[in-house]
Amino acid sequence: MKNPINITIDGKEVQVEDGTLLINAIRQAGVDVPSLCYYEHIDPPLGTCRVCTVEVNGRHQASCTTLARSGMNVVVHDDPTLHDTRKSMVEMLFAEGNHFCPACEKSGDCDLQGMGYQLGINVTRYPHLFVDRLIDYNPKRMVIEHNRCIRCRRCVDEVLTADGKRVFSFANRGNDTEVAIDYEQEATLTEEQAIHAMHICPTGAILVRGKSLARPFGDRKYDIGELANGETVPIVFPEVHALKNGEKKVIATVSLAGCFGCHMSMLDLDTGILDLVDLVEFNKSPLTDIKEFTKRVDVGLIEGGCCNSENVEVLREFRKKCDILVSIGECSIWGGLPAMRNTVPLRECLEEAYLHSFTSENEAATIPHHEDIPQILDKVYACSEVVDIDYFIPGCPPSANHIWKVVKNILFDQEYSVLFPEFKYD
Amino acid sequence: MVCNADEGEPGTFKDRVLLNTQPGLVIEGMALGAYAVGASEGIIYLRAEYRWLKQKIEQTLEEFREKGWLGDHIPAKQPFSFDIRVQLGAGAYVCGEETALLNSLEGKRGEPRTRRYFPVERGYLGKPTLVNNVETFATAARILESGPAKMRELGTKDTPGTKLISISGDCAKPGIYEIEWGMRLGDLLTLCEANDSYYVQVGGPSGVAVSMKERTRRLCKEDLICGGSFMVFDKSRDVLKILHNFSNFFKHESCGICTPCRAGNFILNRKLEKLQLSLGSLRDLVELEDWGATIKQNSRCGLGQMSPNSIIDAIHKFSEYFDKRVDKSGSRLSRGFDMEASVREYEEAVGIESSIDKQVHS
Repeated sequence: MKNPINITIDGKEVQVEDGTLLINAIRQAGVDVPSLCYYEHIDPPLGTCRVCTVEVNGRHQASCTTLARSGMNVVVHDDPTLHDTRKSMVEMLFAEGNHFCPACEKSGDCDLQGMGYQLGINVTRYPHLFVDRLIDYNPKRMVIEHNRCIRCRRCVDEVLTADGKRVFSFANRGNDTEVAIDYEQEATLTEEQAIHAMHICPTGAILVRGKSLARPFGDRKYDIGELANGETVPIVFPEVHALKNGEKKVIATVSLAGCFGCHMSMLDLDTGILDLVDLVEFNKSPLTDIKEFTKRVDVGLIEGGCCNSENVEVLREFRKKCDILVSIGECSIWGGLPAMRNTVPLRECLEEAYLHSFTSENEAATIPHHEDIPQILDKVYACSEVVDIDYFIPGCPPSANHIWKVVKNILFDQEYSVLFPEFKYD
Repeated sequence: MVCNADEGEPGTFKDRVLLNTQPGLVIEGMALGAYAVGASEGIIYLRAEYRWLKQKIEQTLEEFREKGWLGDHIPAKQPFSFDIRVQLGAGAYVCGEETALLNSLEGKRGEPRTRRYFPVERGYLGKPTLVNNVETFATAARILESGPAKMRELGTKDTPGTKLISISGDCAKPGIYEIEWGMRLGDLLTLCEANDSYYVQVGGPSGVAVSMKERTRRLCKEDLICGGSFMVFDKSRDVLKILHNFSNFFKHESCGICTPCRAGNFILNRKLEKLQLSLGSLRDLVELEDWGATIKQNSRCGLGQMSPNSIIDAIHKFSEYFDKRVDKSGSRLSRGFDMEASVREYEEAVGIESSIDKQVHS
């Protein structure tokens, strides 16, 4: 070390080289700090995503654009609000783009998704913006999926042709800022360079035709697999004496604009469900086929978001009858796959589906409408946009263990932890 | 030596008036600055909207050259060389930020640089660069003309001298006012004959929202700093509409580089739209403040760091207005969802479709 200096990281004094990038200094000191746009080859660093924000001498700063200087007082984890700040940056990126992980080639290899797992995001505090963005099929070799771009700028600074010319650039400004691609320069990239561009993209925004699915599913960067011993965590239900007055807790469930996948997942408890029914009884639910509430309910589990007027009415009924409401699965939390239509005007969706599709016959084609059938909403709404939701269980679907661990914690006020390997959102 | 004539803060027009009426004063200030720091090249970065001033400035520059006050061997204690050229911006607000301005001058996309070096260390083309505002240069020339002691007699302890204020909005006499620093807000309002003021935006959308309870506050560094924009709104104006207008501006003018400013301002904008539709609850106000604070703390440059100011201020200072605009019942049943509005598109689609049916059948 040529010019060693002392800085304080979370109260501990450490020695680093003067002028080291703070993010590297923090990591060298064995302290973990998340980052997204930071890419070691790019100098000066991009400083675009702000996910590596720490507190330096009392002020928030991106650690990737700050140089370590003698006497700096750096806080990374000691102040829990900083973790929340970093989390909120990633949540903003999710809310801003149209990230439909289950339909994305990069799912499992995606830095943004991985950052979501790592920071423990189960719901974005921000409403999704659902802006219609283009998918550009013009480049010779690539497809640019603007829905997924987080404008980290890696490709702009890193991808150059053999002549040193840039292929990507930033275009427009404000919320319309997007990465533009120079078709002529793109055509001169070698196969290798193109694939490199796809890999440095932290999301699935740059895809190389014929190569984007080259890596098989199941062999992915962010899959951690099962627990170390290869076994899954057994779910242990509380003893029946945990119940007050011997009364069972009451659960209701519903699938709104969902696929019933989350309900299927609940059934994955297999024989565990026999232990469960000693502790709880089901009221209104597709599992019991009870259509109307017959009593006050402790916990209502909501699968799916709201795509029509009936969904809204049912959801409001649940809010009235249930003490606690839990959103289960992506659709319930922010709209999920049905929300793919949110960037397209409703009329276009309806016309495409009912009037102009291959199977519609000209004479008979009509958009279904009748006073007895629900009206379609202008977009798919997250349940939390319609009523207050108390808890969110992410996943597509969340695993049975995951769901019941959370539910039993809520019902019986128990400490719980859902282990990292048990998460598999995609 | 760069003169920042990218006057972009909504509501300010003092630089325009200075350049239009006294371009020589600005040029003189630049030449004096160049002498002081040893600069040989000067650039006036003129915002694209002021293109019509370019000819006038260039004409004045030519007059200075003819008199030998610009160019080689400018007569001084130590003769020096200095010349100025005018370069036009391309219409981005963020280019008023000095490092974004330098990028723009170099022909790059106008976006703020990461703060590794100050412009005085490495600025335009990597050379040490002094960036100052039009008014600063004009004032520098005036200070040397009248002597610093004279300037110190005016204004307050921390902000001596005078300031040009651009007054616009609901007042009988809008325009440019030169005031002594330390003037009370109420006195300035009286001066411009704003009689029914309700809301004043001091320092532009990224400045401070002020209510009439603050009439006795003073315009100076110690109290209410003002870059020059002073917008007066009376009771006929809707606070949310004002804020939404400001928010539209930031949403559009963010350079788009960093997450909190680009995405955050868009998110705040949507929230304001919801409030305008009277669908907001108390929780929405809390979120506006929280999320605004996140944008302030984490944005890369001043644009983002200042952008939520007016929203946060207004929520605090105009609580009687917001009280009427939000649902305070605390109902868990409705989070501002409007069923009627959200089925309207479907009903329209179905309605038109059924009228086509009729045509087919008839």
